[in-house]
Amino acid sequence: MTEQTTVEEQQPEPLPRTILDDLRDLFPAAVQATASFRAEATVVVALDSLLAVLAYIKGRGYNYLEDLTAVDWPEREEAGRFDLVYQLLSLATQQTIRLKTQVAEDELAPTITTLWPGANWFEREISDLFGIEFSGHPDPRRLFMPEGWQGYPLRKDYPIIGYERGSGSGANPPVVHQYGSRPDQGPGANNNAGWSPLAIAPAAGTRAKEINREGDERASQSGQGD
Amino acid sequence: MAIDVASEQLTVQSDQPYGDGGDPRRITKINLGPQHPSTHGVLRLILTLEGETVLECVPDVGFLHTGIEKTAEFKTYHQALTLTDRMDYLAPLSNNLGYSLAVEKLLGMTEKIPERAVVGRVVLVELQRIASHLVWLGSSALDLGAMSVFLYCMQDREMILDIFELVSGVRLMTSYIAIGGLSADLPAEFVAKVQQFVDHFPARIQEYHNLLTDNEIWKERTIGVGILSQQQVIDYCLGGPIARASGLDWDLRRDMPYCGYDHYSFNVPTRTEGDAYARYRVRMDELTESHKIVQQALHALPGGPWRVDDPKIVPPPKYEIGTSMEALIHHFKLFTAGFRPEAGEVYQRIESPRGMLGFYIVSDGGPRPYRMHVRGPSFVNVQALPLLMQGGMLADVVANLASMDFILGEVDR
Repeated sequence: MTEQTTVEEQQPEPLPRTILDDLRDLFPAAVQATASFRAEATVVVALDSLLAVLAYIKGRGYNYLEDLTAVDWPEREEAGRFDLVYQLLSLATQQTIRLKTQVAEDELAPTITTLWPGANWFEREISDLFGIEFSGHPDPRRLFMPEGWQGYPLRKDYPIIGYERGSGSGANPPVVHQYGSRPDQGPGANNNAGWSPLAIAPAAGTRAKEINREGDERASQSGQGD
Repeated sequence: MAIDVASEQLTVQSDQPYGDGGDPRRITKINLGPQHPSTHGVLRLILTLEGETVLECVPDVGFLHTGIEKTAEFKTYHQALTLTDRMDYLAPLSNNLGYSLAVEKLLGMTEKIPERAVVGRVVLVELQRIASHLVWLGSSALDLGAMSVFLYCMQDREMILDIFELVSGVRLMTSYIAIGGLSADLPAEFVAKVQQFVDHFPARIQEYHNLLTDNEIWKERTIGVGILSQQQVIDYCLGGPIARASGLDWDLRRDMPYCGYDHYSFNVPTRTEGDAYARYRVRMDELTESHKIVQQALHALPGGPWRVDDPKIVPPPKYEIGTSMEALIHHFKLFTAGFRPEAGEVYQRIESPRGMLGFYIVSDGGPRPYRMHVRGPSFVNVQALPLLMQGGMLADVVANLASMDFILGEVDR
């Protein structure tokens, strides 16, 4: 990610290359890396220069904020855990550029609603689902999850199967969903907890009545019926 | 829900900054939604009203949040395709197209998609645009009281859904536009059936115009309602018909073409008024333009393969599995392990019926997307709702919701 590929990619991209050179001249400490993949240019900047770089790029004609999102790299130790990704587009020249910055877990990122008011909900979504806080955000409430929800669903350490029903919100601490949802599926009913169809299979006893297979060990051991 | 219901008050205390110092009981705070026939989905609007005037409008979303982006991290690329249908659920083929183009870009195989698939995709996506606009038209008219229009639109939409059922077996959530091309060949009757629709449709567009365009009541309800300026459109990241109705001449199909859209001749309708009527007129004109594109693409549809012939990425046709060992092995590997694209990230944008739909996919070299983010146009459309509502009347709220044409599945994912 530290070398910039030359113009042998699918199509020439004159404008981003010029702007990358200008960025490196104007913000020498800020630009940490540049990359080009599938004819898309990406620039990684330091968090404290993010607003200045974005304002500069907006002034250079990238006046449209296409997308603002985050990616969680929990295994990354050398930099912050999260990538904040800003996808910008120039309506006049149809050139695009992607800006990334790295944010640590409890670090504050600057809001860009001063540059693009439309970034409001994008940042709310990120703070709701990733837990990254944006300083100066006009409306820092959760967007999708209910108020009082604990945990940040799009983080890699948040379970895909979710919390136990009724937990994780307000005063109830999150309990990772372990068992099936019926009373006979409580602890001990089966050991196949987790994201598996077996976790919500009917209990062994009921199965025996329905299945009549020769040599089916489970059916004969169930003890109920027949 | 993002707002604690218990702390809301039905009336505002006298030290609130609303009103002119008169009786504060004139201010009421009501919910529009989340269950409401006119909110076009599970959208909750918290409206602060003074009489019939909307002082403040706060959208509350998240009722349809199903964790699609999280789920995609646990599915292989082929499996995640079926998740994409469910986001903008009125235009599933558009979502399929955006996702497939993004993954193809990630794999570096954009140039290898066979011509039949490229042209077939255009036919289907433009038909999908027409179908989506018909639902918008019908439900908007229904909300504002013109109830007959709804079933006329549904009747034409049925013809399109029959076409989708012919090609894929499914009316709506087809997952038909797949990675590498189309998931199955277009059947022999496809061209004739689409031609039948193409011949039948222009008279129908004229009929919709006859019903609404010069209708006094329709014009009273929509002209001057919910005006968005061009600068607001850019500031709030809006696109699609909403942007074009406010004077922003921008259409991805023409300006950043994909899928061979630069081979077809079509206009991009724009207006300058930026009100609900302008958005109506833009979408109506888009029906005509999409019809033109379908006609041209249908004539340009060649024969040949419908999917890239790369067994490491595209599963072989089912009928080969019984006779070819290699086909069986490739099928097995693709459906158990999946293919592994290079590590990298791509952003693919397409012009969906609602605006600019974007797919941001990050690959770490594994068989599943490390991160799939969907930039839904409805997300930014709903964010911009307060701009339209505040200062308007309660009746205009319905007209504005209808003219913004958002789909909550895309807002919440």
